[in-house]
Amino acid sequence: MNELLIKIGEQIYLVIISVSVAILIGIPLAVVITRCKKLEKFTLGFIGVLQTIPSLAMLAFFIPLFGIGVVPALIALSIYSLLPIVRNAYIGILNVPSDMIEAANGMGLTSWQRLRLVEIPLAMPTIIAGVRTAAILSVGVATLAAFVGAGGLGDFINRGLAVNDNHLILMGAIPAAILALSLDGLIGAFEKWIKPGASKQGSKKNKLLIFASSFLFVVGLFGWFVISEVKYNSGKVVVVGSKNFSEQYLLADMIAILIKENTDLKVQKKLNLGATSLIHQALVRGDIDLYPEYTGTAYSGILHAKQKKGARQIYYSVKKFYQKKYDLLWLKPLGFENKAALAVTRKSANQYGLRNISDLPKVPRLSIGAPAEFVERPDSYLSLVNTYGLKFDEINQMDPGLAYEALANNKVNVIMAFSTDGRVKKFNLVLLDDNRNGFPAYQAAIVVRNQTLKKYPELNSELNKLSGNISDEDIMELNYETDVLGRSHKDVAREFLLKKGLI
Amino acid sequence: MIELINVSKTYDNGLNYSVRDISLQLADGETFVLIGSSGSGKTTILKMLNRLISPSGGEIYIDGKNIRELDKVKLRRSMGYVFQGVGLFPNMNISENISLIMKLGDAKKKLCRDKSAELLETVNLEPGKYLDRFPCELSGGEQQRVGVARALVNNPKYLLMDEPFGALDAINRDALQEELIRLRDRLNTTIVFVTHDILEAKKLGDQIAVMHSGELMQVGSFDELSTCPSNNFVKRLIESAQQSQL
Ligand SMILES: Nc1ncnc2c1ncn2[C@@H]1O[C@H](COP(=O)(O)OP(=O)(O)O)[C@@H](O)[C@H]1O
Ligand SMILES: [Mg+2]
Repeated sequence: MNELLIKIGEQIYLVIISVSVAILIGIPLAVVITRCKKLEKFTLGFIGVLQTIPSLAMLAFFIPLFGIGVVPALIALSIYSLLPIVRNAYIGILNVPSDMIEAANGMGLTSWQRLRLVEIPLAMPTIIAGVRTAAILSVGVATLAAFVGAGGLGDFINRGLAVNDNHLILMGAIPAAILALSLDGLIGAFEKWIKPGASKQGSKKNKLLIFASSFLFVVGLFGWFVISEVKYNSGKVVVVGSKNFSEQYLLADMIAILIKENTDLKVQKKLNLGATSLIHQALVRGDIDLYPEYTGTAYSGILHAKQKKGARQIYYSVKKFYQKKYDLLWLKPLGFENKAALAVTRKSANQYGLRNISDLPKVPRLSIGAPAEFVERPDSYLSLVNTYGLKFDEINQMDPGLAYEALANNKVNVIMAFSTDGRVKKFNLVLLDDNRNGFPAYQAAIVVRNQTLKKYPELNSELNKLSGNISDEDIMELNYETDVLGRSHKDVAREFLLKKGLI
Repeated sequence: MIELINVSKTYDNGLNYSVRDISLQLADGETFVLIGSSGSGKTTILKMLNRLISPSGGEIYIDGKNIRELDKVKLRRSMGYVFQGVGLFPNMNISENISLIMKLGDAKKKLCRDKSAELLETVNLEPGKYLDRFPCELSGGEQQRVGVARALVNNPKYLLMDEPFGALDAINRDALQEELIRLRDRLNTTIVFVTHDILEAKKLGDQIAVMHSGELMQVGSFDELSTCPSNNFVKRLIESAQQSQL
C-alpha cells in the first residue's frame, strides 16, 4: 500500500511537472505564432510530427542525450503535452472576436496589455481545454516512463508483465485511470471556477491565493525533485540497475542487500531498464553503477559478434571488449546460465515426441511466440535457422510474460523461454535440448564501472562473494519462489544470502 | 481642432475606395456629425482619427500636429471612443471596464471605483447596482450607456462616437441624446458623432457632413443643408427628416 502511494505520487509528479513545463513553453509559443503567422504552419506542423513519434521510441532516443531517470521522461512527456496546449491556445487567441481586439486597440491598450487583459482571458476556456487534454494524455504516457527508470505506476505494469501477475498490472492501470478521471474533473471544476462572475465579492483575493499556492506547489515539487536528485548524486551511493524481468529484480535485490549489510554505502535501485542497449547506455553514462548481465546477450547485442564460441571464450571476449571500449568490468560469472531455450507444452512434447530442438520440424504449422528482440538478434532466430534448418510458419512478437499464456492457451505451439524461468516449472513445460549448440552461452555476471570500484574499493570483495555461488538449480528455485509462489524478491533474496552465509 | 486634408482610404491595392479625398475641419467644442448610409465610409473616417486605420493618402492634423507623428497609444488614450458594437469586455465587471485605462495608468483601486461610480451617474445608471455586474447581466441600452461612460474616463478633449445609440429603442435614445447634450455643454467636449439617422444629426449636430459611397457630399449646419442642398442626395435626406417630423 505504501509503495502504491509512492508510485501514485511519482506519477502525479511526472504529470504535473511536464504539463507545467508544456504550459510555460506552449502558451508563449502560441502567442508568438498568433503574432507572426508565417511561423504558424511550421510550428504546429513540427509539434504535430513530434506527437506522432511513438512514446517508447522517443524515450529511447533521449537516453543517450539525457541518461535514464526522471529527466528524459519529463522531456518526452512535456513534448507530448505541447501540441494540445499550443494548438488550443493558438485557436483560442485567434478566435477572440475582432470587435474585442478593436475595442482594446481603440482604447489605447498596448499589444502586451491587450494580450494579458483581453486575449488570454477570453481564450482561457479553450486554453484550459487544451491543458485538460494534455494532462489526461500524459497520465497515460507517463506509465511508460518506468521503462527509463523514472518510476510511476508503470513500474507495477512492467513488473506485472515480467512476472505474469495480473494483479500487479491492474495495480498500475486502475490508479492511472482513476488519476486521469480525477484530473479531468479537477480541471473542469477549475475552469468553471475562474469563469468571470462565477463567484463575486472578495473572490479576487481568493483566486490569487489559490493561484499562488498552486504555483508554489509546482515549484515545491520541482525543488523536491532537484534536491532528491542532488542528494542521490552526492554522498556515498551505489546505483544498482536491472532489466525488466523477475530474475534481474532478484539479482539486483541480492546485490543491494549485500552492499547495504556489509558496507556503509547507500544503495539506490533503478529497476525496469528494459532493453539491453538502454541499460548499457545507462551504465556507460554512469546513471547506474552496476547491473547483472549475461555474456551471450552482450556478445551479440553489444559486440555484435556472430562467430560461435564456447562459454569461456565468449566471457573473455566480452570482458576484454568492455574493458577496452567502455571502461567497464565484468566480474567472475555468478555460476548459472540463463540461456535462451525453446519450450513446448508437455502435451505436444508427448504427441510429437519432442526432446531436442532438432525434433521441432515434426510439428505441423510451427508458430512461435517470442520477444521483439528475437527476430532482430542474430544469435536467436538466424542461429536457429542456420543450425537446425527450422522454418516458422508464424512468428508472434510478444512480451515474455504473455508468451507463456499464449502457449498455455494454444495460441502458439512453441515459445522462446529462458532456461532459468520459474514459469517453465509452473506451466509444466518441456525445455527442448539445444543439442547442436544453436544458442550461445549466457553466463550471468555482474558488470560494474571501474570508476565506481576505484571510488568504493570495499565493493570489490562484496560483489565477488556472489561469483560462482548461484547454480542453475538455485536460480530456477529462486525464480519459482518469486514468480510462481508470488513471494517478494527482497525476502527471497535475503533468505538466499543468509542461507549461503553471505550476510 | 481636427483637420483632414485630402484623406483617402483604399483597399485591394487601391482598387476600392472606402473613403475618397475628404477634407474637413472640426472646430473645438462643436459636435460634428458624420451621416450616411451603411458602407458610406463613416467608421473608416472615425478610425483614421485615432489611427486604428491609417489613411492611404492625405494628412490628418489634431491641434496642429500631424497624427502620424504622435504615439498611437497616447493618441488613443487622449480620445474617447464609443464603438459601434459597444465592445465591453465580458471578463471584466462594469467598474473594471470603465476604469481600465485609469488602472493601466497606475491609478489606485479606490480612485478607479469612485471615477466609475461618478461616470455611471453621468450616464444615469445607479452605481450601487451596476458597478460589480458583468456586461452579460446588462440590457443592450445599459451596455450602450456604459460604453459612453467608459469613453469619458480620461476626460478626453475629443470624443469619437460610432452610432452609439443605434441599437436603442426610441425612448432610451431620446433620453441619451439629451444626456449627451448636457454632458457636452458641461465638459466642453468636441464630439465626432457617426449616425445614419438624420433626426439625430439634426438634434445633436452643430455641423453635419453627409457621406455617400466614400465621398463627401456637403458639410454645414442643418439649416444650411436644408436651405441650399448641394445635390439631390442631400435634398432627399433633408426631406426625409422634415417628413418624419410632421
Ligand atoms: N478591411 C476592409 N477591407 C476591405 N474593405 C473594407 C474594409 N473595411 C471597410 N471596408 C469597406 O469600406 C467601406 C466603408 O466602410 P465603413 O467605413 O465601415 O462604412 P460605414 O461605417 O459608413 O457603414 C465599405 O464598403 C466596406 O465594405
Ligand atoms: Mg460603421
